[in-house]
Amino acid sequence: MKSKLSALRLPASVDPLSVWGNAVGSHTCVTIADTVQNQTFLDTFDWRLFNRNLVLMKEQERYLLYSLPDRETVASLGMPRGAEPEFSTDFPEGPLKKVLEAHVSVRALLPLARARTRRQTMRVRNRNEKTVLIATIEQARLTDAVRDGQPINTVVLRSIRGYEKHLRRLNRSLLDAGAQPQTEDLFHAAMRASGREPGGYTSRLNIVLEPNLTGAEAVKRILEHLFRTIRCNEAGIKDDVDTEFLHDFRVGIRRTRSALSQIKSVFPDGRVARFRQDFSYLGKLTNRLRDLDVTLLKRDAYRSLLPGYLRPRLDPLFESLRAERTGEHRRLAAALDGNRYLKIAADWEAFLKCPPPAASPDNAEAPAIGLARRFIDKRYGRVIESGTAIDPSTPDAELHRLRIECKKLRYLLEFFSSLFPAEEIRLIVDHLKSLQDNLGDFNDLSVQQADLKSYLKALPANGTHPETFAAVGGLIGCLFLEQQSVRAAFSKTFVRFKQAEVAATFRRLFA
Amino acid sequence: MATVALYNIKGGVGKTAAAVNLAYLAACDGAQTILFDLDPQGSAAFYFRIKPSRKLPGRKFLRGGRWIEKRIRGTDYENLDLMPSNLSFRNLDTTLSKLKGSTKRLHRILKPYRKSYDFIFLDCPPGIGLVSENMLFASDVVLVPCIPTTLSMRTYDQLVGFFDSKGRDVSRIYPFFAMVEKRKRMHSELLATGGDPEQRFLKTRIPYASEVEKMGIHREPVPCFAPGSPAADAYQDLWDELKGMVPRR
Repeated sequence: MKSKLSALRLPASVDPLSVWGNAVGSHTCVTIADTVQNQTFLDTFDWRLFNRNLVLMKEQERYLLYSLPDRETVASLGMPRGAEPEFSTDFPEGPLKKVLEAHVSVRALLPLARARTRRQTMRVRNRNEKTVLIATIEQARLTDAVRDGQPINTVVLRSIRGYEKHLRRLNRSLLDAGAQPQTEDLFHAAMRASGREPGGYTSRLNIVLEPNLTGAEAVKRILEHLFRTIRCNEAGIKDDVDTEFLHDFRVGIRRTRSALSQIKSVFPDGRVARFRQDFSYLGKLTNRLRDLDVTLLKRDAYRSLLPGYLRPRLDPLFESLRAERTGEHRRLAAALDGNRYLKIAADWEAFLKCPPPAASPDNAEAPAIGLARRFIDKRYGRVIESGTAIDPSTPDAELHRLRIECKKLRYLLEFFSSLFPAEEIRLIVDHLKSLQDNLGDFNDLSVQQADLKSYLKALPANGTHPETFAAVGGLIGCLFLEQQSVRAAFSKTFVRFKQAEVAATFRRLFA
Repeated sequence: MATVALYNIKGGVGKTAAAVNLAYLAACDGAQTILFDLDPQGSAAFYFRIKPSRKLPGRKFLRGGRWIEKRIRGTDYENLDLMPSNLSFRNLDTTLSKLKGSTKRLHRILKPYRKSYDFIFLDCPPGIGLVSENMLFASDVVLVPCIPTTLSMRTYDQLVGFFDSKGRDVSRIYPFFAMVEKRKRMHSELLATGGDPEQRFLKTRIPYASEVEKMGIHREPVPCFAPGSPAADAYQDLWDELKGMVPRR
């Protein structure tokens, strides 16, 4: 049978031990453990654990993953001293790694807040010296608090079967002494104290627009949102924390470019043209590093495509990519600190603060919802038109063009989604996403084959082991086959997107 | 995993001490464990500092279910619970005789606990009768502490003979030597024979030790207040031997 638990938070102003001393009354207490331990709370930059109601806490050398609000342990693992796993793959095989890999994926686990807790555990005994409950007094100090750094004192009571009345009695005394039932975990207090808002960052677009906004107001709000995303990923790129900072940064830039080019005549064209160029520059600046990241992340997948004896032959390829990546990253980090980038950012910020009115105020003054309908409808028409024209003999470049069209449509849908019923937007986006996945895979496979081809060309004919050629050649062959099957799946995927239900939803919402 | 009874016709042979220490060691091993005290003397509760409810009428106990559920007490040790008894259990035999299926009643009462616990220990009252028959039917292993004397050996044979005559499966009954005093000639002579092979004595022998008696003063299992003492080691050996006899889950 499970024992009953009660957790009470004591006011910060009182001494927890004296409150406890008064509450126990005629009971006697025997301390069985008295420890001071350091806790570190970890999560990814985009709160992947928190968003699934999970908390990862490192206590001394032990990692504990638990769920909220019930504080049930999901997995735990002791690590050797000094081990600082950064990615889920750095953990040894086991249940903890399994859960982390599923949720955290390629993102780094960042230490977000620290605490130091003294835990005194004692047996509370009755007159017969029989233990009737176990009490733990926790005094936590948030060691890197930037605000609200008061100690957090908690009493946790665990009943012993058949002696529940003692827990009820002590609980009441503590409540009378000003204690409150504990409603938030130390995690929340620690986050608050270190000035963080759990769930505060997401790479998803969650812009809320009202239908009566004018086009100019709506677009301004969208662009501001995107700009915030871009800026808050800079530090993670420069420190090379994980690959997703750059990814989110680039998505922010692509979305900005897409908004600037698609939602026309909202701002004066002359003023915006310069920024179109600027953002295009930022896209190009980051292209190579992202391509390298994607390929390097594929290392295990690539190796698995080859027989065991050829796998080591790929090592030089990945070494050369890694070396190139080091240089590429250094170049990008410098560029983000450089004058050109800083000027673009400052100018763009100033522009967003008070954008000049458009010369032709058609779209600037028009209600946002009307603009959204018009642009989305137009883009949807184009996607259907180009997609329908594709058959097995169509050149690859057409699929590439369709991919870009789809991306533009997706961005528009995401920008304005808050103006339309969520259910129907989800239906459309889900179908569009399947289509985009197909086209994206096709494109990735083209890029990867091209990369391998140029690597192959640069290999010296003398002095390269023949197995290296075999490995790279084998890989190209595999990727080619995969690409063909992706291409073969295109028509089916597109038919699903084109189907009546989706088309009707588009018509209902946007036409 | 198993229901284990501590039983002998004779009293004062170290049944309760063995039951308490074995249950404690099982719990220390991480097994969810419960000790049912069926002995009206209520000594198991005393050893665990548990005050039984004033009234524990045997007839209600024999009905089982929620009534028992509410009277189970957690001991001071992780994973170890106790169902205490007191003097009102003295008439269990008479009460049982009035019930239908009177030899299988205990088996039925324990059924839910087989699911929620890994080990159930039964501290049985001395004597022979319906309670003992119930105990035998409900247990996977019956441990019989025997003092190494001629008379004790005779009693043990009587015990097995009685159950055999009732057509009961006696293969789950295992005796072990308890309260062994090496300086007593009779003890050492009897031990030298190792007991009758047919009687299947366990290897472990529990010595006659002051630590066992001191359980009444400390009100704790021996390993808690006298770790490393010969008695504590002997109980550990007995537990290890018992563990080897029952199937692992």
